[in-house]
Amino acid sequence: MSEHTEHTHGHHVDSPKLYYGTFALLTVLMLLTIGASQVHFPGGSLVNNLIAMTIAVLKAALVVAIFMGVRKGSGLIKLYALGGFVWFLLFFIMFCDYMTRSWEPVRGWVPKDAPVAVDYPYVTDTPGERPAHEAKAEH
Amino acid sequence: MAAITAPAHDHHGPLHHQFDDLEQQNETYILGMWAFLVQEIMFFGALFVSYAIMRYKHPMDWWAAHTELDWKLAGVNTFNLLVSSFFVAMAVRNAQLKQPGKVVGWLFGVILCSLIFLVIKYFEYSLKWQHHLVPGPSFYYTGEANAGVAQTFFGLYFAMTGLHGIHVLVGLIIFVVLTGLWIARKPIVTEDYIPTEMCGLYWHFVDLVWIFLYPLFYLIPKP
Repeated sequence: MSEHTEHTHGHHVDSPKLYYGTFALLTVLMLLTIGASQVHFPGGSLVNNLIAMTIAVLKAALVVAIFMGVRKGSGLIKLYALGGFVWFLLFFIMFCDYMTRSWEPVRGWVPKDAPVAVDYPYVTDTPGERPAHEAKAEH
Repeated sequence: MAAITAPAHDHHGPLHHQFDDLEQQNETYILGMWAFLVQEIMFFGALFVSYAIMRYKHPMDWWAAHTELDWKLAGVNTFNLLVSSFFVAMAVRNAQLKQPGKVVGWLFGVILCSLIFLVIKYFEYSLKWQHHLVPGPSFYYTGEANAGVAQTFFGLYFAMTGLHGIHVLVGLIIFVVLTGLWIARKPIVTEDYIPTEMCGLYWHFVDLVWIFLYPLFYLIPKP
């Protein structure tokens, strides 16, 4: 009986070839990450970051699916593994705050000695207050 | 009157009485382990978000501070963890086939890898200590980056790789105990592969975290 058809407790045992292959692929992807980090891609560092994170997610998917055996697991276990990843991504909703702060600056957020002045005339200290220069223009 | 005889449940084997069969029991164990791993993702996740926010706000300083780190040494550790993950997968496989001798062999490999990882980490950390790059009163940075941002960078570097390092240390302890159980041929590990599988899941998770830490700390592209 060849090894990859062996069963214990009705559990399918993977062939060692699958693990050797996965390990080889993970090593290639690791070298690819290092190689890609040394290259300046057209489009700037954003492209570098996207490539690095795509490779990392690919590596993670290989580990989760094959080494951790999730691909053979029940639907519930797949849901947990995927749920963990989605939940992790949801953390990054925090960027809705950080990326949009400059759209609507508030005086308190900019230090008095900031080297760059906020280029936005409608900044007031209290919400609903009309900017001073607008009030003057009416007279 | 018939004597009340206790059912012969002194040795129930790997199957516990609350489960219908081994398949159901195994799924329950693995699901429990995944519930733990998902909360570990949350644990590390908060640090990853802090990292992302700081790097988003100070891309140039972040890049300049990262040049103090040694990507080659960390690369050796990345490969080292991949090898250990492979060893664990093979150990679990041999545990399923009930081949204790082979399991012990692979487990020794895992212990060796985790020791190498911690030794390399020790050299990395002690170099940072000598260069005064550990956040705190002794922090002294003269590089290109803004010193405050550099201190935050190294704060997150030590928090994230340190937390990961603690996980490696815990993993080392777990695998020493597991190897001991296999050497003693204890039924808890030899009759059922699940304890070995659960230690393996933990170890793969440690590898997963490092897969993301490595490019994020050591291979930052110049913005």
